[in-house]
Amino acid sequence: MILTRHKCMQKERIQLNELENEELIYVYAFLPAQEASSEKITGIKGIDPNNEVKFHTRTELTAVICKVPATDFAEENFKQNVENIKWLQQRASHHHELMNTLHDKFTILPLKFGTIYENEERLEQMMSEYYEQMKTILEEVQDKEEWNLKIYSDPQVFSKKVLEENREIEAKKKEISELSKGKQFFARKKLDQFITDQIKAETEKKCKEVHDKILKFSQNAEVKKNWEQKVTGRDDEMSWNCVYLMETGENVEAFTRLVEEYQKHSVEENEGLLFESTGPWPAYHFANFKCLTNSVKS
Amino acid sequence: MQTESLKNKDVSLLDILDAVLEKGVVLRGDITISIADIDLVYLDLRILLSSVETLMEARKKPGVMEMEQKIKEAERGVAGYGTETDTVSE
Repeated sequence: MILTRHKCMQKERIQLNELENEELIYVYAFLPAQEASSEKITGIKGIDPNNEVKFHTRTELTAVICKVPATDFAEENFKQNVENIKWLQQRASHHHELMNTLHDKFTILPLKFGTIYENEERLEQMMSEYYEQMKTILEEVQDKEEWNLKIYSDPQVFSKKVLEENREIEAKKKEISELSKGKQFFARKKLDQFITDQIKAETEKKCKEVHDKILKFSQNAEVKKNWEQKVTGRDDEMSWNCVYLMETGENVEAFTRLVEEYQKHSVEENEGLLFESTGPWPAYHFANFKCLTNSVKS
Repeated sequence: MQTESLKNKDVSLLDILDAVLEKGVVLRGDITISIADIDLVYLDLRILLSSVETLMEARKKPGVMEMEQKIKEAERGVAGYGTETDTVSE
């Protein structure tokens, strides 16, 4: 009994030692090898501060990588680390800043945070396996950038509008007040739901109108989930959250102008909409392909 | 409109996480994370590596009477839109 336990402990120690010496490969992005050969990146600290950012080229593709210790990035350890907000904040910010630098210089296929390969062979295997797919994506995102638009709506302005435009609500309320107490409760709930739905429909209609116009000068779009008020910590409601892929230059300028016009109009007419856009982002949302996030077992 | 250039680093951590995390930022249950420069961030980072789980709809919807009260207040300028958002966005 004691012997077995002793053996187990020895085994654990060996595994830990193995992990300490083991290095994994963190991958930021892929770019055409041709572009990579024209410009060097040297002396940039990687996501692991002890290692630099490097290019790893295989035929026509170049991966932007950094060696990382398995103690930080092997699956189980990584899972624990991302729950530490300080750890995550530093790494995610680094990932984002480096991606911006790359995006400034090259056509890139940006990867999500935490894409890790076990070794160079696995990385190269993946690069040849998905070569065609990556090439297509790189062509799609060339000379383009991503912009995020969030539209917030003031619930007070919209509920006022809904109450004004739906005369039957007033009549229904009167009807309800004449009902018995028990019936009143459910009738009110129903009416509440009706008003809430109307408000939602009204804000969605407005946002969709803006969205449709933006689509005219964007190459791709992905509607994202609205953040709840708990997340935003704001009093107004997020009613639209969408990312657009746009050509750098004229398209982006048109987008900015359009959003500015809508904002101005909303203020003048007291429409209760607040527009917030961020960009340019690398095309994070338009560079998706399956099987990229093979995490490594520890 | 507020247009934030990514180059001036003013984009919030939440925005960055929503872009760079595999599944974006999702709220689940009561996971609350507090950071120095950001008031409160509710994240579910577990979804990074596990499958999607049921999200909790915790927000209480105001009733008709409450809403009417709010509108009346707004009309009296007690809780104007402009002033409120100004304080929030700061």
